[in-house]
Amino acid sequence: MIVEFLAAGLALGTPILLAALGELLVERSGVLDIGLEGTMLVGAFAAAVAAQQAGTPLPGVLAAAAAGVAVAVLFGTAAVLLGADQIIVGTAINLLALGGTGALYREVYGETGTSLVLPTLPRIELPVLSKLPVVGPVLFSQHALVYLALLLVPVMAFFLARTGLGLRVRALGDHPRAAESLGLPVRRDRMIVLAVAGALAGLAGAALSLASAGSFVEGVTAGRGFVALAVVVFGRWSPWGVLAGSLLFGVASALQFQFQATAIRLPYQLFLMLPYVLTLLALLLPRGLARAPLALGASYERD
Amino acid sequence: MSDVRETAARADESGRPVLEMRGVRKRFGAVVALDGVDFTARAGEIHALLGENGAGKSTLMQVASGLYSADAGEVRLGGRDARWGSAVEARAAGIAMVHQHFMLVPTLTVAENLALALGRRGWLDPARLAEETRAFADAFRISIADPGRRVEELSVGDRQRVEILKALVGDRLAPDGRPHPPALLVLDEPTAVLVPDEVDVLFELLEGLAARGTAVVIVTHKLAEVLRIADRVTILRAGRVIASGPAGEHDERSLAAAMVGTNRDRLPVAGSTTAGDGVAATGARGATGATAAGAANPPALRVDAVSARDARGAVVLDDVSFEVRPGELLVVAGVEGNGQGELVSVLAGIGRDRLRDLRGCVEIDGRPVARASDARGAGLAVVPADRGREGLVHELSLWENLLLAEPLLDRAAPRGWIDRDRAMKAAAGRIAEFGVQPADPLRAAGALSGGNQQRLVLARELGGELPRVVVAANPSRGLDLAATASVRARLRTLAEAGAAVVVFSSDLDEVEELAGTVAVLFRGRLLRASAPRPARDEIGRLMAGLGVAA
Repeated sequence: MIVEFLAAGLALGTPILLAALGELLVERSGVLDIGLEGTMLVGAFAAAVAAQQAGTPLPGVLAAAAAGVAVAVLFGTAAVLLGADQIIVGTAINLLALGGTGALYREVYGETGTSLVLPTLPRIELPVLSKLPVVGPVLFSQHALVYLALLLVPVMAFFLARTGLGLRVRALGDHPRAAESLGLPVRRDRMIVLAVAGALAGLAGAALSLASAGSFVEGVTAGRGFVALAVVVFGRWSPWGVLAGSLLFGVASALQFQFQATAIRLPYQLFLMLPYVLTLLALLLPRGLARAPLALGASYERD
Repeated sequence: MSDVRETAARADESGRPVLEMRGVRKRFGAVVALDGVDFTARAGEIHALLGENGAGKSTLMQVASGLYSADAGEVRLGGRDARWGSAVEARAAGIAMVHQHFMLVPTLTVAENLALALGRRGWLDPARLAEETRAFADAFRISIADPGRRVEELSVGDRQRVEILKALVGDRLAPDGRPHPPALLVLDEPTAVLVPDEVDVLFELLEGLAARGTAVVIVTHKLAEVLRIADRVTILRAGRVIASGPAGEHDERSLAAAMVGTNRDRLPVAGSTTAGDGVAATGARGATGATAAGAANPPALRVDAVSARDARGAVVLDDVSFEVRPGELLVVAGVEGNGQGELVSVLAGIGRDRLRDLRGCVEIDGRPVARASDARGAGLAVVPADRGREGLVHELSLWENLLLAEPLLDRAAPRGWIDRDRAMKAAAGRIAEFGVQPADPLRAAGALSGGNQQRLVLARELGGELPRVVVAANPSRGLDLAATASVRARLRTLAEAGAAVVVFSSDLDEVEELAGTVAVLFRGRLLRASAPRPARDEIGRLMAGLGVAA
């Protein structure tokens, strides 16, 4: 029972984890991209269209990553290169994505109300691990994006702590002027980081539309991009903390489905709230030593 | 580290010009910052560049280090024409700059900051980085803190040595990533933030570098230090060279006179020019004033057993108690980071939420002060340490910033709304009185230079009616000689007129010149010296945490 919850939590937490890992990287470089929700949504839509056209999920995954990069570059052009306010640009991206994907969806698929049926990502059984008793079949039989997200956690941690490029990213977020004084191109580097994060947000969208559900509806992200933003704060800007936060949201979502299936007579909206309420509560936990990157959210102007 | 040995070999050529600037001109809009400046720095010498705020010292060094390009004139490095597009190119050519505001990433370790500067790629092994950092430090004979510690945990002196080491080892353009000592090292106000002992360490380090052939230029205000360490001195005033020659030809009075111009009236009367008789005389006068006032009046400011921790749980204030009576001047000496910022916060009732476990109480005229509004209502004037960030609203204009203090607002808005003419008149008066430049009330405060922002805060806090209590943190930082003298005189005058004045200072000259009762803040504890007005040596020792007096 618990193992099944974990497995479901893992699957439901994967879009959050992918998006939050990208956002973590962006924020460590000093940029606050609240357009995450919109980027995910565009990724989910691109995945749906491409997968439906091709009849297989892989083109959908690639299209989602590419669309995510495009949205992130749009954000970056305004917020990093032109120095516009990051919050405003992010909000604009969110509104644009919601309206844009909605309009395109109706244009392409009509307003019939029948939801799309999409090819879904196949489950991959990991050799050896999936043969473990009890745990194996549930935890280690997931789609590829779940494994990718999990793999990215140690990779990201190692990248930030132990590589020259990771060092540059951290310097950008805490003291961009020092980076500039060393001849590092602050804004170019931030754009590169944004593009990587955009790809991850796009993949997060693909994980939404091509995973078990295999469908796309308007506003399918349902605030998960904002949850991912919260998870970065909850996770204290560390990949492992972000993993914990994503799993918390995932498990809460699994519980919510479970509760709806039980005979408890409560409005189902209360259960729908559960993951969001838990995320909010988690943000209230004492946060100890961690703090945001010092230059977070400030656009960088050269003298 | 063969490059280091090469530098040693170059020491033989001591006296060879490294940097030559001829007829350098630079304008910013209508302002002529440099008006035909000649400047030469020679191998193996320590060259002090002196001048008041706005004299052009920093601009000159920024032209030298590639941050600005000159409008006219030539810059030659090692005999070759030197024109570079950026500071990075200048560094690759052999000019290293240590900025007054350190260009270190506070959240990274010492070794990581160095790796960043060297442009290290690929995997980073903390142990190897630490080893490399130690090797560089040994090669340049710089003692640095544990390479694995974060820069934000280091003392200011340690940070500065890391910054110097970073400047010395070169930059990411160094082809082989090996130490690549600069031909010229420029330090902007390097002693402004150091305690006396740290200054000694720095000077020893600079002398060692010069002995091995590097030309060292220090940009400074401090005359005594110039005479102590510099071989040559160049004095700028209003963008022109007033004097240049061996330091031995000068004493403090002649340097000061050259810096501020021929008008001797503008010179500080006592204290900063000669550390002897003048101070003693002021001291004695202050003492009698304080004692007489002390006996008669109850304390205006009472701080009782204040303790606090910071967000990380470290004790930043440890059972601090003191009283200041009307007419009394208390000077709290200490190196920054020993609790000054926190104590100012507690006194002013601002930013207390950044502190944890705050205990004890602060009273003004017997009434407890918990919030900024209480403190202001009780007649408190505050000059915060980081006035650029905490003292001013950058986006607002000068007159609006001045109006933020209530008395001036009351005068400008007698009927509840702001009368622009009155406001402008009141603001212009203050601006003129405190010499804020440019004296344009409509200009945004953020556009002022650091020294002028300071004057603006002083104008708002100290310019009005007599405050009951004055709390000032490093009131003269960034001000030039004449302005420093006038601020210190004003603080003394406020005390003589009956205000209770507390000044936090990390500058021993200032501590002496203010001539108040002295206490020292060290690691959050308030230490009393052996006498109300202890000797300079004793204050220095207490500031450095050596020999805690009873």
